[in-house]
Amino acid sequence: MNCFLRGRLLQRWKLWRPCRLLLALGLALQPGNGADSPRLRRPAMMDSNGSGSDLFVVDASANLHAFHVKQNALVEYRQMSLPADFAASDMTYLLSGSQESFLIAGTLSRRGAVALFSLDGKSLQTWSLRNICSGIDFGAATHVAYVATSDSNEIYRLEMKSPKLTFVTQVDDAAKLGPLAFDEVRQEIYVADVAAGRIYKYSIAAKASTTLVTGLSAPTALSFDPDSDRLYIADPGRRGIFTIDTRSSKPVLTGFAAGQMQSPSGMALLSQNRVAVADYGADSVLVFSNKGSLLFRFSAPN
Amino acid sequence: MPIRPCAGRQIRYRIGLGGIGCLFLGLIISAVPAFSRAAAPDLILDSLNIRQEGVVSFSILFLGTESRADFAESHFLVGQTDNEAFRLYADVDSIQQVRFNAFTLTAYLVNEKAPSRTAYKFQATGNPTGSFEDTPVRVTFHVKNGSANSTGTILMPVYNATKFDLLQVSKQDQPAYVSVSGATQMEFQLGNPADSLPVSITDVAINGNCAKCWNQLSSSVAQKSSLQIEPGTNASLPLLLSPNSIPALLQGALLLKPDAPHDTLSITLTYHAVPGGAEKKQTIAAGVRFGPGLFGLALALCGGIALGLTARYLLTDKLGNENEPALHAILSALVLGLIAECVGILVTSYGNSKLVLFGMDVDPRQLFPAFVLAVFVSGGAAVVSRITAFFGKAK
Repeated sequence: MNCFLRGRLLQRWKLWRPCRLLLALGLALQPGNGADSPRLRRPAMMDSNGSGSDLFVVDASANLHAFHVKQNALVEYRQMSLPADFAASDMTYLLSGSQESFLIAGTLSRRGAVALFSLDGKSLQTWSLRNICSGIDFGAATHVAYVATSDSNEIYRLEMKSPKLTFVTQVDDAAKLGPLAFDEVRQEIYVADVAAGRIYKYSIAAKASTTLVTGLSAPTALSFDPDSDRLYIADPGRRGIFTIDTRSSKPVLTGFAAGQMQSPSGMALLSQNRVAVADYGADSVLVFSNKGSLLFRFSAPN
Repeated sequence: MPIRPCAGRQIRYRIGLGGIGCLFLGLIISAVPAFSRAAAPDLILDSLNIRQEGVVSFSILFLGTESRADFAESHFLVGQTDNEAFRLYADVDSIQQVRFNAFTLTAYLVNEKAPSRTAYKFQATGNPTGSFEDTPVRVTFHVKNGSANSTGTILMPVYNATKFDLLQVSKQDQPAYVSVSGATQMEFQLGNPADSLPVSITDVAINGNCAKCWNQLSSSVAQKSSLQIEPGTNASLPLLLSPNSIPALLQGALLLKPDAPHDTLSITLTYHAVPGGAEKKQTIAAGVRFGPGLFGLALALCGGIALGLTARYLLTDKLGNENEPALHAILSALVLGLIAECVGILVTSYGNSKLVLFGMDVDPRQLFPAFVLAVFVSGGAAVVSRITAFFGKAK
């Protein structure tokens, strides 16, 4: 009898062992909370790679989304998160050798900073500044970036191999400098005044700044197209995109696209003369032809 | 001198040419925005200091005129000049936050004394500096219409996207108790300071340090069912915590101190000031202690009583006192164990008392302390003295 009972117990124990193993595996394989990758919400700023075939968008939660730009769609292929204590203001793509990376201007622990991030989210280098960095653009040929500050209205030059930024100028008339675009061929810098609704042009050779255009509400993104010498301006206050011919002696603000967007916040030039616009309020990215007609709209699925 | 017919024709011809010229000039003037703008009054919003914590300055852009008289109270904030000549309507739905810490809104200026209801449309951009919180303030505005100046005020919200943590969180005195036997509803008290704007919580993300300890961490608050907290009031944030029984119990098994959390939850709230504030995030840390639930506690109690009685029997050859029937002794042990456990839970939960076993401050709601308590109560003096002696030797 005892022998029989012992046999039954042993049999049950043997049956229980794989169950315990499965239970342990089940516990170990349970996904952690919040493991899902965040979808694109509140796109704030963007830039494209040199050819305009890839688009990189930073959202309000400091997630960077990388997209392949197709004929009529955006296909997301990578996401990364910026450090939690880094508040991004503007970004620019750069290609150094074969390595793709980003320069992101903003504040790091409440100090102005420009940080170089690789595409997989590694912080490669950081430059510190006393003032709040607001705008940035990079010249691919000269390997030089220019940085605007919003609290002191200054422009700095950033050389990739130098550990410090070099003061270039202060725009005396400005109230709050925001985004910046760099015309590398003519060595001119365009910088927007978010508070006063103006665009300034600074000539590096002449060391002089002039007011290029007024009559904007809050210009929050600039993109310079070297092929057409046109400067694209996103103005969420007027809920539209405007352009100016930078070669004109008296540049006039011309409407490019309006009515289709709630709050244009970021902008980038894409391949095939297309223009991408980050619509912060509508959680979407709009792609326009260079004539201003809407080609397609990308919204991340719920 | 009579005018010659030929000369008369010439004059008429010249007048005709002049008339056409004037018409063209008029058309050109009305088509050029700079000239048509000259007819519109100028609007200026004064900069203002917010509680000595920061400053908001405004820039104004004239957008054109609209013929409208419908300014519903639910969608517009209204201000009036002191001479009642102009009314300013701020469109609440148009408020938006833009990059570089600025906000914009559309405002309409209406001349109350003009016969036509022409509204002058302006875009106002607010530029905050400093560290003030989003708040409603009375802004002074000026209207310059030709040589006449009018001044008025409008109560409107101003925002500062760089100021975080608008919500007040009540400090957690002790970790929240979460039963592993099912889902536990937990409520978090959140406050919105007076003199601020209403705050709407639109998303709640909860993460535990011990990810495998949880089956589900959620809240009913979401984009479509947001939680709004009015200024100067508090609200409860409901959380649903469903632990994964075995890992949760293992996590808590070795942490006997009643004030030490078994796990810490990071509750990230996404919220914005209403209307139109920037989306902000605030993370709250909340400690939790896992408990076995009633069934688990009863099992631990029964197991402890059984072990205590067995130990007592082995030490004294009796289950109870002298001549006490076995059944009576078992029932007495059960009742006493239950009373000890209940008293232990009551005094540690609702009073300042502590349950101390062998110099260790323990939580009677946990499996191991409940088990040991039951062993001591049912084992009686013999078991207690033997264990005390054993620990005394060990020391």
